Amino acid sequence: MKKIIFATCLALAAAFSASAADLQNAETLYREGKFAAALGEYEDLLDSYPNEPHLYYNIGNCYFKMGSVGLAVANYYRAFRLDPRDEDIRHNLTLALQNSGERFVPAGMPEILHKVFFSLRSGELKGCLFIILWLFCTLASIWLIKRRLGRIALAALAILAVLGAWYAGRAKWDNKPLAVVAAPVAELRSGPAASFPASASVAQGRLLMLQDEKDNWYDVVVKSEGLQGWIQAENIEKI
Amino acid sequence: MLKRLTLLLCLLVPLQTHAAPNTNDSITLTASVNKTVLTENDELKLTVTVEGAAGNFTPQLPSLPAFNIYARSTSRQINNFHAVSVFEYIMVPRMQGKTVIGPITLQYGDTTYKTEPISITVYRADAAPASAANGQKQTAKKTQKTNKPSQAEPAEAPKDLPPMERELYNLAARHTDEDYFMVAAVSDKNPFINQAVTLSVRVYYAHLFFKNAPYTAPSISNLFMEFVSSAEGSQTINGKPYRYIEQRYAISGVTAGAAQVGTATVKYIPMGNVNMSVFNRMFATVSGEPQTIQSNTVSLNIRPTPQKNKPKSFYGAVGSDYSISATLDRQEVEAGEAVNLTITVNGPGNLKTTSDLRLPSLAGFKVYDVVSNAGSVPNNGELKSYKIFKTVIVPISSGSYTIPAISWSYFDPSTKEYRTIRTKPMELKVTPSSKAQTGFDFGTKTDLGGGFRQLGQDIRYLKSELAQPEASFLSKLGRQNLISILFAALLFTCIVFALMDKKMLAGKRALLRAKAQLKNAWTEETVAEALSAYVQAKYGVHTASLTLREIVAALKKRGCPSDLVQRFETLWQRLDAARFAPVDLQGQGTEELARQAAELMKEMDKGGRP
Repeated sequence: MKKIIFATCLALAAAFSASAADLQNAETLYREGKFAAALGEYEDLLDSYPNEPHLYYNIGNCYFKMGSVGLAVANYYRAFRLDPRDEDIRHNLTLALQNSGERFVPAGMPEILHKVFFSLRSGELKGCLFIILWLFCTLASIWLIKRRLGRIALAALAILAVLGAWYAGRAKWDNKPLAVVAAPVAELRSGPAASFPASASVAQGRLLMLQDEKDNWYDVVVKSEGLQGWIQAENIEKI
Repeated sequence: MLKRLTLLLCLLVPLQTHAAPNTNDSITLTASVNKTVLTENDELKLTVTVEGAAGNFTPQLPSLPAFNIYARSTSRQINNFHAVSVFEYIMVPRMQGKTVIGPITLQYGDTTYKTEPISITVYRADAAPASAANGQKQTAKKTQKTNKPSQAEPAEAPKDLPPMERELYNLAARHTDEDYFMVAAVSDKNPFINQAVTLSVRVYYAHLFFKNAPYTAPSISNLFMEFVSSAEGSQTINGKPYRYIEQRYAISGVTAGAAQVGTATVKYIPMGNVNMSVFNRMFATVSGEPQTIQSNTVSLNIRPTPQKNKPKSFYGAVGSDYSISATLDRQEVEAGEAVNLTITVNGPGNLKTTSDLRLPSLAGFKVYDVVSNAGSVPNNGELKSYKIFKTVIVPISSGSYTIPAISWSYFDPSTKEYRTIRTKPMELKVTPSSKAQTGFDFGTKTDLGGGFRQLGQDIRYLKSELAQPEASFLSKLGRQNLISILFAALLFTCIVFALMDKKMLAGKRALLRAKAQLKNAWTEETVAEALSAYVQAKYGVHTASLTLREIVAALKKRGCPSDLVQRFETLWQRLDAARFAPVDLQGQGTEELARQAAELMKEMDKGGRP
């Protein structure tokens, strides 16, 4: 048994050291200005750590340095969804979006409120919701049986309601069908084929809300302008 | 002497032309096309010839919705009062499929002349056309009627001649009793699809004929035909000297199966012996009816290319010595800028009906559709075809890229093998987009004082470690399924309620029993028993073995509210007093005590935990 534990620990240590070496290698390439090569290293690491926000952040940095603002925005967004508290991710995402004429914090919303809304990761928020739910259940039971701690149970219910609303808001934001224009310029057409007339051209990095999909074309709404039209799937990157 | 001769010539020429009778009083209207099978990219030449009509007139073309006419020309000639007007129309097809050029009409005087309709088949440039069987049959019938070679025993062709020359010689040898005849032969009667084959049409003449002898190229079915060259020569066949005019074409089959080269025709007016002197030729007069000679038909069997070992990069080209090259219009661009990629294929076969090239996957590029353009150019008696593929590639991000070698295969009929040729890989350097950088608004570079000056802004540096946000307790808890958590909470609540109900039900049952006892309580003893039984069932306090003080303490300990405990204590004292008091006191307050006991138990049930 001891041998098995030892072997498992050894394997885990080897895996971590390998990923650390890969990260180091990618960083060296990035420092040397070989952004495409660094990008390849980070994308390889994604196979092992598919939900790692720092990898998406680094990939976003590589794309930004390579001039692909659209793909940079897409990857910063993925990183932000996984770790919204990280200041570096927030900073780079804001910068990349500004670069393509978009706003990260919606107009009219105080930045502090935006930060509070994203102060917890989705998993953490869900965990808090469960804890408060259990706390409320326990307090409610005590109150029902012993007629004690009734006020605390009510406070727990209020916190549960606030957390529930917060969680629902975050779930809605997380599951928004977003995409970003990845091609240098994409054309917005009135129908899902190249034969339809183009109504607008959308620059790289613009955020799009996906509405519908048909034959490799997406019905999208350009978030900042509110324009609706069809765009070819190859021109966008789904977030 | 020379002056006199010149004067005589000047006088004689007009006299002779005026004296020559105009034998063609009737008007003939003919229409012909240079090809009946063509692709969307091909031009079609429609020639309308009017003979015998003088004056200014124009034939009326029918409605031609399937074609765009983009050039027209008119030429008029008069030879010995015989007017010939030729109207040529260069057209390009507008759509694929079979179409008919309807009758062309000419209103001349009171008479309307009409031509026969002409059937045309237009195919897509990169698609194999369907069989043109009908056209073949029609052509075959015509040739059976018109091509009547001589029954005389032909002489054998010299052994050293190439196969096509030998066949031309053998065909010509059958006509040695004729002064004017035409023959046609091909270099290969069993070619593969798209393989270029030489078609030679020769007009042999033992005597001269007048110029303006209209020549009509052979009709074709299931074939593409391109004019290559024209030549003249002489040949002695069976001891008889002939001169010939040769027209050479490159033909290629478009689908597997039978194909046919129809008859070519020449309409001529004989002049005299080949050996006629120059002087006689100059003063010869146009006399006699126009004669028509036709060439023989040639049947071909078009073979498909073998399926075995057919490479993926085979698009239908057949021939030998093909070459391919690729160029980029720029070697260094910014990310997001378009680069033109041009791939050119050169070779001998028909490239018009070959499919478009499929580019290999180009990672990091947006690749637009390939546009192709095919054509052919006569070169030293052979037709050289070319096909140019053009596309636009847009690098998405900066870096050094290599456009990989692009493969293109063809079938070599001489070795009956597929061969693959490749372009050279090309390097492309892509720099970061300057538009993205300049489009960035970093704000005003301001001097904020205190030795601090903002110079610009950039993205923050890389993360050197993994975050692993899922490792935290809250995140792990959050990964649990919401439904299972809610279900567990519900189960917990149910258990709590069940436990709570058990105690509540026990209390209710005790109350009901006590009420029933109190209904029939005639003595204080009965009331005390009912109350004691209720307290025991509700709070688990045995009154019989305890003093009143101990009972009160036990009730307080079990959570009974103090006011109820107080009321219980008072009632219990009164009951004790009633039970152990003189007889006259008995019976006076039993009802009242029973009522008080019932009220107390009711309140204990309602608010007297547990």
